[in-house]
Amino acid sequence: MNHLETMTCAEAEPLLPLVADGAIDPDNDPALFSHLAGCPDCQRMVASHDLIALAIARPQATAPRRATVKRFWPLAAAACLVLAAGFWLLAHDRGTTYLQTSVAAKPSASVTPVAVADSRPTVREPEVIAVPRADGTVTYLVRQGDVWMPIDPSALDGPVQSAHGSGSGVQVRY
Amino acid sequence: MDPKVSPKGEQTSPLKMEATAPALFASSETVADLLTREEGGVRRVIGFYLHDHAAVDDVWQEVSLRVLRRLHTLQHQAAVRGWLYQIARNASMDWLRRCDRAIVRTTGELPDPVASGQDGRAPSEGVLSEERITAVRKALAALPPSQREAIRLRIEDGLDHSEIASRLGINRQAVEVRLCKGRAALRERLVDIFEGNL
Repeated sequence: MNHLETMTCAEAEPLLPLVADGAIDPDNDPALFSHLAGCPDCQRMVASHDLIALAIARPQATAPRRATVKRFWPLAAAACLVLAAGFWLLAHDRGTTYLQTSVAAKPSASVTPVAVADSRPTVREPEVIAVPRADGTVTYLVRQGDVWMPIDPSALDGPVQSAHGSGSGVQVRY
Repeated sequence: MDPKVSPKGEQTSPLKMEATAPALFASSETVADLLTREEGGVRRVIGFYLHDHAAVDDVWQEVSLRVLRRLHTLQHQAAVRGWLYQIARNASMDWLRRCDRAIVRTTGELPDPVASGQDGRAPSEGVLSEERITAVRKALAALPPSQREAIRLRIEDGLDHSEIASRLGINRQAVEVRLCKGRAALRERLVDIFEGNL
């Protein structure tokens, strides 16, 4: 099959655009493709034709801003949900704390059980704690906001009950 | 995978099994022999399309697979090198199209200058840089309208020659002449950009 090797670059070059176009393939012109297989110069020219066509066929770039919004909208929606949940929790906790503080801020007067203010059916935190001391006396502590303050036991309007049994030695009142 | 055993009791690789079926090569040559013999030339062809060594390796693997799958389509033993060249060319172009589509789909913009390829560039960026695309569009706009329209219908719209002939109201041979002249003129204008560093 020596005739496959006899084509020259001058003969091949006018046909190279049609190779790039797909109009000529190895089946309908084996001599041309045999030349192409061994000729780096013609290979380079076909590659140029191919890459130019690839650049022409390249889709136009879309607007970046629109693409960015489309890409990040799920993330933005999730962030909005998290923020909304955070605001709701914050507002809920602030309301409860305000009520607890307003009730317990009068240690010298009678202490109203904070359970009245806290309507949540969850586990309640103690408002008054009786702490037995080594000398046999008992110190009573009342919560004022986030801190515990000593209180005169005569100000209490009822007995202090144990919430956790007698094991801890600490009595609490709600 | 266990190697298959021939009737003579010899173990043969899948490559050899594939190669002996069409009986298109010299009696002792297998597909593996063919690929070994032609690897340098095929890699050179791929290198005209891709400037990234890792990408060339990937496409070379793809070419090897295509040779195995399509060996039965080879019609003439003497044309095997041209057939191999065409497979390498098609595999390279397919790889570039896939890579470019992924970039455009991800960013919606021209290729990102900071990507994972060699020299911090996307593997397709070297051949589809903004500079090249701008130059190609300018060159296309400078073509005679008849050639430009034929090229747009062929490349952008993907019409075949008959469809273009019907659209433009000319015969098919005239379409091929316009396409051939237009492509040649584009390459002539862009030769420094596309072949300067090849």
